[in-house]
Amino acid sequence: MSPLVAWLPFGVAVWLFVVGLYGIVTSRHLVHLIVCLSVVQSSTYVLLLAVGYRSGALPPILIDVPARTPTVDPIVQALCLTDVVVEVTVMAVLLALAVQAHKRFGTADPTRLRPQRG
Amino acid sequence: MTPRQRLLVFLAGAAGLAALLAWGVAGLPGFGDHRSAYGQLVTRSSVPLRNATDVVTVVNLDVRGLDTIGEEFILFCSVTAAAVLLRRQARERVGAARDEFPGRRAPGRDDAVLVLGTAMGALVVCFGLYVVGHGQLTPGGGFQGGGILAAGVALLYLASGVRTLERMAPEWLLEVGEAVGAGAFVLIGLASLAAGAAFLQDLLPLGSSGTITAGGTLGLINAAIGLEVAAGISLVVSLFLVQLARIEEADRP
Repeated sequence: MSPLVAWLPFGVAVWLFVVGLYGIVTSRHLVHLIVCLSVVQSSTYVLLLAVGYRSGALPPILIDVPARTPTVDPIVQALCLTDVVVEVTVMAVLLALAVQAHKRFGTADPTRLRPQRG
Repeated sequence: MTPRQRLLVFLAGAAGLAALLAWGVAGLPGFGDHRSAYGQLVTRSSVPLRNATDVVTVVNLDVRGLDTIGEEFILFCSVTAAAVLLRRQARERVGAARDEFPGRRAPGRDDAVLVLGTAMGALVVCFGLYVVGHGQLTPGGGFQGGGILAAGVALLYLASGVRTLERMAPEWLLEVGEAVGAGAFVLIGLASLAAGAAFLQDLLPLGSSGTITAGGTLGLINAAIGLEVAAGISLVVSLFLVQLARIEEADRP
């Protein structure tokens, strides 16, 4: 495997993290901001799956697989599943907050939201 | 702080962060060279110990079962938080369902959309139940299948509107489903304790590998998680739709 291919998945993970943060910092709309946060989080999926990959190995589904055949790491895949569930639920809470912020302030632009006393 | 200043501060920070991340990634084993004793041990023992062929399900529900209970309650708390945030506020009232975007008239009910949506909804629900039920054999399980089942509820709304959704999947039913699903997982663990074994230890017959009864309690836990995830995500979908279609300012005529 060439060095470029060997480091590309990790490079993609770093790129997704940083570009998602850029989107959050420059965002002009709360929904856009929340989607950018999910881009940041998707870097962790790429990183986890890349860490667990093993060249030439089979998926960790042991149907008709001879014993002691190498498989990719099931632990990181399970962590990735956890990660997806948490992302979905956190997005639901943030979108609900965005709906209420838009109703209260009349805008969804985070730079125009002002602190208020409840 | 102007947007330009903020961008400059971000770029300085991001350059440092990217350098640190690249440094950290450089210390990882190369892509494809992964050798984890833990992962291999779990892979080799999942069929002999549990008769389950999907190792990811064994990791989530058995090896890391206690962590998955914690994760399930993250889901539970988030759905609760979304429900609290989307409730009727002090200056609002629940009006008649206006199932249309402000300023645009919704087309009337269309039989073709209704028939197609119902047929697709039935197929999606069957597929969701299949994915929940076969989690211990093939890729899938409660989390994945629950998400697919919730898509069936979203299809119900798309085919027939918010009034039918509220009638066929009322909020109280989804709340009960979510609570029962979350509680059942904990009760399965406590049942092992009551029988004198360790928390979540499998006391059921393990079935034969490759059949739907394989894996003992794994199937029951997947069913509990499937119920919780399906009800929880459907509840969030339903809350957002009711928020958009029914909740309005009280002083409006």
